[in-house]
Amino acid sequence: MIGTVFVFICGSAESADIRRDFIEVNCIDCHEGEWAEGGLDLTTLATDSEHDWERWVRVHDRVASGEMPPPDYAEIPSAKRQRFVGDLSRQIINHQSSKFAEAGRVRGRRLTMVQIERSLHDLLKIDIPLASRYPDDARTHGYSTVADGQPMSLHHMRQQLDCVDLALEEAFTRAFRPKDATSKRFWNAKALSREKSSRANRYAELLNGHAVGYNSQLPYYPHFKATTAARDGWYRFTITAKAINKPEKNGIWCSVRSGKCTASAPTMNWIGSFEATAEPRKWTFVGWLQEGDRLEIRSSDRALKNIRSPNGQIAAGLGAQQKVPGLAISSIVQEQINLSGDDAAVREAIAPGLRFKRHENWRLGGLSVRNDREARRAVMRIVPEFAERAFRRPLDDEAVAPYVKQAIKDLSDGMPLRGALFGAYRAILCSPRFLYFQEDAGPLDDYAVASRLSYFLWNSMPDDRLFAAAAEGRLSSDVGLRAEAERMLDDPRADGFVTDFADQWLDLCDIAATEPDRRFREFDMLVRQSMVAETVAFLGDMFDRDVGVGRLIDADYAFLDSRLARYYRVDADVSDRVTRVELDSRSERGGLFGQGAILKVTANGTETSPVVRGVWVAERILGKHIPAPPDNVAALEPDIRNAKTIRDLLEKHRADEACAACHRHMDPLGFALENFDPAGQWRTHYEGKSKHKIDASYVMNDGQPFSGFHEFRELVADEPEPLAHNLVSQLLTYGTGRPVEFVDREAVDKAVAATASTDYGVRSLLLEAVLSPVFREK
Amino acid sequence: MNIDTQQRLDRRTVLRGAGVSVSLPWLSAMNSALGAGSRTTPKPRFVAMTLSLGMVTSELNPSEKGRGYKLTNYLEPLGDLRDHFTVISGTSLPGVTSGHRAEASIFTGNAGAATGRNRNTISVDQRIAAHSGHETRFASLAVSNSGSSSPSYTAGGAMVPATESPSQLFADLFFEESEAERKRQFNRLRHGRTVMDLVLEDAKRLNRELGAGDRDRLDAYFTSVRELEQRLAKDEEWTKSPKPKVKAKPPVDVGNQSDVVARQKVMQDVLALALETDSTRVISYNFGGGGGKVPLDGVYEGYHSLSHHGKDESKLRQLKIVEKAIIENWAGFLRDLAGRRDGNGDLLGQTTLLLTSNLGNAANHSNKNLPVLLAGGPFRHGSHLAFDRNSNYPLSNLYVSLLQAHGVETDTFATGTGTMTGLDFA
Repeated sequence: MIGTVFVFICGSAESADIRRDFIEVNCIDCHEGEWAEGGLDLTTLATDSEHDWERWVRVHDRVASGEMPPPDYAEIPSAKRQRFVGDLSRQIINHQSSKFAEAGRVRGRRLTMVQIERSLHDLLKIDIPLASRYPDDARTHGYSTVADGQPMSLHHMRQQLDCVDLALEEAFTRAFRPKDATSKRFWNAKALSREKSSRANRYAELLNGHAVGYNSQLPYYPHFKATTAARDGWYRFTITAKAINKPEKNGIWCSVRSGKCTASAPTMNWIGSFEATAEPRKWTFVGWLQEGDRLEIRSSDRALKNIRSPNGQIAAGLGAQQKVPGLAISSIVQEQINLSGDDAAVREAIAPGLRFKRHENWRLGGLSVRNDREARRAVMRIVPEFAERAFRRPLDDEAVAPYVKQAIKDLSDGMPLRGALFGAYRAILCSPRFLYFQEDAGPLDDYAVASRLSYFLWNSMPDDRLFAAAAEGRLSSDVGLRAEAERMLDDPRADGFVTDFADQWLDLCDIAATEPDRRFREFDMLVRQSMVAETVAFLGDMFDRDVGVGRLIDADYAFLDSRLARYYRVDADVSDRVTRVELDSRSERGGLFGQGAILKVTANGTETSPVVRGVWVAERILGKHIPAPPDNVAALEPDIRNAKTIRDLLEKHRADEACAACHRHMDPLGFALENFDPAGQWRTHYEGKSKHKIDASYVMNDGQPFSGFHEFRELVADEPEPLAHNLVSQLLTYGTGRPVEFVDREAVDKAVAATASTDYGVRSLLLEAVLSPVFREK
Repeated sequence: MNIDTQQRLDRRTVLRGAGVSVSLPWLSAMNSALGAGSRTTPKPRFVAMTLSLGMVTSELNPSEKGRGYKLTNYLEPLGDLRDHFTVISGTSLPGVTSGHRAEASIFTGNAGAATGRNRNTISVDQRIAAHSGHETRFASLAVSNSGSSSPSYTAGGAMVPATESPSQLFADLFFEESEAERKRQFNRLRHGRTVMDLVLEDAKRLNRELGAGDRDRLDAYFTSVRELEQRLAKDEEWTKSPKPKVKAKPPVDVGNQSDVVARQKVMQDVLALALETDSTRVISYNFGGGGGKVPLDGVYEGYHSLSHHGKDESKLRQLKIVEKAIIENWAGFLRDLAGRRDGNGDLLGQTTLLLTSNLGNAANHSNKNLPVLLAGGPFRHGSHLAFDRNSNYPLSNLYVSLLQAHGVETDTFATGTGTMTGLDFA
């Protein structure tokens, strides 16, 4: 052996000896020098940076699990292994806990764009979409809430100022306008159809008292000019329609979208879908329309006959001649609505207690103060109140002074009260006290807990009741905190929790990132939307009923609508809204791994990769981190020529021990899902010319073999603790803004253990996560 | 610095490739709008494009060094532009590893940023923008094929969000607001500066209440606010002059995220207009490697999966189709710029274009031997600068050359310690 092993400088001399002895005897043969295995040189691995510490955590985990040193290299007495692992564990915990005690786990976390949007909605009682106008927030460790990945630069500040301006313009316009923008319009079939029946175009045709469009792949066919929105807003549509020439077995699935419906502005926004039946029925949808947007309501089922037209325009009568299935609409009712309160609520939010002199242009409106003194008094009353809500905690006078002072100055410079308030709000909403979480090291105070909790469960600011609980100090006690968390979960505002969380945890927000190949004929945008609805309904039901975490994997039921049931070949009597369906034990559709959304986001639309799916399952579901490929060594380039199937290919790859070390953790998980194609349908053979038969059998890393998907699913579901541990970790990462670290593992274990009596119910796990010190300390 | 295209590039070649461009009468109108001074002041521009998925460099790099090399498969589309670009092989960024994650380092040269060891530092495009960005309406542009990720980083290490929509970009560049709207914009910006003053005062007080860790983050906030305040002051001036007018129609965005080639074409067309109207002089382009299948004849598998070809013939064949199409597009961009002129000559002569990737070989996630094409601008082109493939030359030295070409007086950038050997000014 050359020289002595470097051991990092911490802990006692005795502890250093333990490490040196163990490493010299068991590790150094392979892990020394420039050519060290896996790029890990234990003679130089220091403790200077967090990166070094991360590597020590991996050393700990791999030695603790018995993976290292490799069993064929050395047999180690268990006491020696324990001693090394125990010592290393203590060093890592000491390091992390002293660091956290000083500066906290989570540092400088700020609101995401979605959180800013919802906070502005709650503060100002407005409802216009804001977040969708800006680039998506970057996701770090899977979540946009993670503080370490949240950038701040002049570009982000500019975006904030711009977003605040949009929100305030909307609020002030609504507060001052003479009356609420509510409207109700009705169109019969004639009004919905093309004006000249002889003209071939993409409008519906009038047939037997219905506006009719036929099954087709043409975009914007049919679209409805009458529905064009006169101004931006939320609209509720009630559509009365029926199917014509429908196939025997099922109805006709239609999508409802909005947009300009022209080739120069091709973006269409999803509103909803429904299955039309022979009997006329009514459906109601709510969607945001920009001025000039109109509805497109179309049937474009690839499984059905399409209308044939010579030039991409549809002439009246063609569909009837060709006997093509279609949708016949008898009427549409359109109402403009507010999603969060009427204009009076907006007035109360921006200038409580004052009377408004209304005007279409708010800059020409007024607020009823009799003289300058009253105006100043109004500023001194209203601005601090607004700031307290925006900053989510009580403030002393000094903190609001800059904002009040500026508004007063504006008044004395001759600015009207409405302008002075606008200006003050503009500044308050760009303040770091609005944008950032204010958390002090150590246990969080009640207001900080309130903010964490409400952004966790609602993605928005605390409501009055939560503020009251904080003011009364109730969030410092387990009982009080649990009660508030339960109340918030039962509040309608928590309806978005599962969608928001699963969007990131399970990558559902990426569902449309790739368009499956034409080979996957049955997949279309309706299937895609139904897939997301399925997974969200499935998880929502689990959180509602506190279902055991194992059912994430092997539920004997699923949430399907008739489109998905057809797609999955599940024989069930269901409607066009996802509902619970009992499955027989042979079905592959119970649990997340059988859900189309999961199978879709883990493939690229063209082919599946067991590596990609394997890593995904390991990291998102089992809570096992798979490190990125080691820093380049030329020898690592795989040579996969002549590999016939993906299995051959990965076998060749795994022939290299450096590759195998990680691939044995992920490949089995991915191969188990190979029977699902990139679009989520079950297959027994690969697509394409080769048509190789799929073999989904494998051996888990711990040596347990499985013959295919069903056995694999059982193996995973039989061990609920890792699933529970992972779910708690995911929730805490999402909810606190930092991944769960080594030092936090104990708290997570405790939370998991506390729910054993509920069979690790997912709602119980969520509540225990909230009660854990990881959530309640900075 | 002034390059006369007519001498260097056959006029017909230019027109053949340039397609439809802005008509001449407008150009002279623009020149007079910019004033006489613009005829003599050089305006070096920079467009840096990075590919997320590397390139098959054996198809790119010639086997001969220096001038007179034989065109390779990938260089064929650039054949007529031979004297306007340099192919550079055998370079990489010292210390930068970590495969795909090196996307964060490609224009910053910061090794720690890729591994997550430290915060990132300023990218070369942003360094140039910091130097000359105040002269244009947009100090810089960051664009992408899809998504908001970009290779551009601020001095504080924050990623500059990219714009993925050419039609949105077109609107920002050229749609003129009414007089009343512009006045409102002006007031908005002026009050915006008051807002920045206020929040700065508040932040200073907050800073005293915070712990060390948070204070660090708040520093980034302080910097952002100060920089925005300066930028708002400049924007205020810009609201007084009308936006440039172009005859080109607003582009239509390509819906399919996987159609990276079509997206590249549409975006480049808008970028050419941005450069021609001198709306900006600094652009970064993140050419992301989506997972999906690029809709080109002969391509059946996803782009990302193809990049992991493992030497498989069929995969390589498909990958080459995609990569060659990207270079063809890029060559079209070069020709387009060569066909546009301002008071100082043609735009290709004034625009340095870089095409590179953080991956030298995506199949094994190697960050060595990066693909590098450099075109246009003040450099003497026409050769293959071949450095040692086994012991790479620092690409960061190219960044020093680029900075100097843009008038930044420095001999260092990240790991770069001097200008690139063998790359000379014309």
